[in-house]
Amino acid sequence: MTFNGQEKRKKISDKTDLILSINNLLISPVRFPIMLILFTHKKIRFSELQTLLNLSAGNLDHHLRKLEGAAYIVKKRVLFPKRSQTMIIITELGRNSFKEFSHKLSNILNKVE
Amino acid sequence: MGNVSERIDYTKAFKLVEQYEEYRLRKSWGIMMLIVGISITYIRLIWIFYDWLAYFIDESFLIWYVFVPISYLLMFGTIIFPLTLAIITYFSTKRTIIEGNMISSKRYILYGIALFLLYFNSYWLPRILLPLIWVLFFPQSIVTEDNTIVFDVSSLIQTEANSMLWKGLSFLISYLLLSRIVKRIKFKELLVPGVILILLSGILIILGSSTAPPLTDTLERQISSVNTIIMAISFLGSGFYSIKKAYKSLEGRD
Repeated sequence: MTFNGQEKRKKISDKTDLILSINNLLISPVRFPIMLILFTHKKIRFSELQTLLNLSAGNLDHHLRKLEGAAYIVKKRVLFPKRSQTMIIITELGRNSFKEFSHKLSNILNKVE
Repeated sequence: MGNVSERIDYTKAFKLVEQYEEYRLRKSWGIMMLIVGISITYIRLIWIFYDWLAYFIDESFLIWYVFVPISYLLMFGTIIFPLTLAIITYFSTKRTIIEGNMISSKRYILYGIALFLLYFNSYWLPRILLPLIWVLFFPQSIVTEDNTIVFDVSSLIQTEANSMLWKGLSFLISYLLLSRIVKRIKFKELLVPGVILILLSGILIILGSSTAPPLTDTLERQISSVNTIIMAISFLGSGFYSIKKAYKSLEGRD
């Protein structure tokens, strides 16, 4: 019985560790899609991202600053003939972190199953 | 416990990726249609109105600054131009595939093929290859007048009808190829001009096979101009419509 209890506690502790080790920055209904799009397409224009996510410029900028602070993305100003556009580009660190995040998430889901 | 509104909707996130890919495909297709439409219309208009232009502009200027560049475009453009467009768009569009825990991507090869066929069939095949084949099989359509070789009336109309028919078929082939890439998207902008062009070519073939009227330079130019206008409307209309639909896809309103 004691052995079973210890095993159960260890399993719960494993799951908790896994959940706690997950990147908090990416657990967000806005930042996850942003990173997913950047992971699959490397870069996207600010205006396109804003339309796609249906967010205000300020709100989107707030989330992008958080990702930029963690060095997951970089913003680059691209000059067009009549106007300039901000391009959001994923960094190598961002790619690796997202990959790791997805991997851990998939592990948790497998353990839940 | 996280708030319900703060939960990540993974299905929605993947749907957004799909929406973005659809937007990119439609936008780049639309831009390429505009480029192809403008370039073919420009070349055709210069050919049709060359003697009028020569009347207003100095002929040597016209030859060196208009005709020579166009000749280069004709020579190198046949394969390189549509191929370049196809390659650029091939690399600018991709599709994300999710299989189990794996995320992979695939390029739209059919997209490049469709664009190449559309360009090649819309100009080079009907204007150069088909008349050559026509002359080969129907040498009687060549009439010699004062050492000048001219086509007879019906064969000229046939050439224009052929040109329209091939354009129509190209639009339909592109429609079938693109519909295979993204099954959800209905490329009406390719289907509608395709059907209209085929119907118009049918009318032109019937007119050509009826009693032929004497074909003057003006009439010949009018037929070519109408063909060019219809072609320009088909390409540019299709391009603008595709770009408009791209933005609708991005907003998730499509």
